Amino acid sequence: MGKAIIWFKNLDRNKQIIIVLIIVMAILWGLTNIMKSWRNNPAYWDYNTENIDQKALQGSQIEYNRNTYWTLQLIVDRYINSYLYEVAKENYSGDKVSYKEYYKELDAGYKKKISKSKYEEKAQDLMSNIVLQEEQYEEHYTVLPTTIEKINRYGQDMYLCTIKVDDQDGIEFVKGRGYIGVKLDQKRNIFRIFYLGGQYE
Amino acid sequence: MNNLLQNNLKTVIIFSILYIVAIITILIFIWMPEKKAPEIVKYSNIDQDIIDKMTLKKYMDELIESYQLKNSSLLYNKMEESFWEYTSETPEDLNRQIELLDTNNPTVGNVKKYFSGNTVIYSAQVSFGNQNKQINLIEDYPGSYVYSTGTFYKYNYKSKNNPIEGMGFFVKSIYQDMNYMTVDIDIYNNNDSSSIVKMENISDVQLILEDERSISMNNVNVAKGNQVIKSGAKSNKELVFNIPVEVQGQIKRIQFNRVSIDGAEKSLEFKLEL
Repeated sequence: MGKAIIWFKNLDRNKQIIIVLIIVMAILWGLTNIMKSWRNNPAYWDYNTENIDQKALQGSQIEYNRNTYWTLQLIVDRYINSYLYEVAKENYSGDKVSYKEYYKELDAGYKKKISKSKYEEKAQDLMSNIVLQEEQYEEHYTVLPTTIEKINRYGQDMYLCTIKVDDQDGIEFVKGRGYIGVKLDQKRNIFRIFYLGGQYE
Repeated sequence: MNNLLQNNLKTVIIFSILYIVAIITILIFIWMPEKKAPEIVKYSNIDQDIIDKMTLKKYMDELIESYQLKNSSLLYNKMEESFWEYTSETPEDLNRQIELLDTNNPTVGNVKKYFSGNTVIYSAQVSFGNQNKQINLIEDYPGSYVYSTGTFYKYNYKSKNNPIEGMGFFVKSIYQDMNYMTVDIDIYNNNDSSSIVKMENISDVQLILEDERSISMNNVNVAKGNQVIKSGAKSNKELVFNIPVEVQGQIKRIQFNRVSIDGAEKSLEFKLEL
């Protein structure tokens, strides 16, 4: 090491600069690779995810914690009710919060990827299978009971909830699944939505 | 020379100011209190008691509704898969019971909760009029359950383990009750000579828990003593262990402490996780 320093000191200034630049480039290259592997780490949620398939679920872990499960179930219920409030305002007696208000509180990474109109479109696509308008009385809506069927955890705090509409008398009433990604900040007790989507038949 | 010094001094001062400003900015950025989150994204922590109440209410409401509707197909669908394999009841018995039950005002009485690995079991006394029914709700994953009745909990099938010292162990089934467990096992002898699996004492076969505690068989009568297994043959054994359901989830291995192979007595163990 000492010899290398002496050799470096004896070089002329231009050569020293070139060597320093090469070392800096090598460090940058190394850091880029580390970042890249971190990005490709299956535990990492990819904000570019459009549909939930094997690739999207790769590396995530199934969450078994009952406390987390019920916390997420209550959050999902709140979100569904916020859609109900928007469509059935006069006839709705719960919390007067519209799903549209969640746009400005989305997870920062997701918000960068999605415009307000696209967000509303995705929420409507998801909710139109859960909150149904009655045929006879158009101002009346029915909320189908839902259950979080599975939770996939990414990293420590991002949970992708697979939502299933409960069977009605043993029959699968709505075929397909909805997905809501919820990031929990357990220190501050706040949540942020990081994904909305659904694959229905 | 003076000019040069003056110019350098100016540069040093400018850089120092910029450096201090940068440090202050970074410090402010680090220590700045986080923006207060609006109410719509706040949530409350849930107590375990509330979780249990919500879980039980959801499952029991659904199950009792199926009883009230006298809808046996719904009940079948929700029943633990292997229930019929181990119970003396038949689906016809269930139909008859449902028909005879007074399902007007069922009440859920004493509820006990057990853990078995990732599984939670709620065991409840449900009164239908003057008839009581023991109902076990088995939750392998939160939000989803199957059920069984009576003291029966679950009946699992397990797979074959790789042979150890020429001996193959194939757990055919495990019957899990609230207080004990029965392991139905086929033992294969792939050695060139006969082997003896000794089961004279209760400690000849033991379950090893995750904390390395061991549970011996409850008696040797069911296992029927020593078993000589000829080369290429198999023997079937039923081993019963007194082990409460909440401890069953902690089982890691099963250990055969006295297996005689080619005249030498060995202890063989293999993985057994529920």
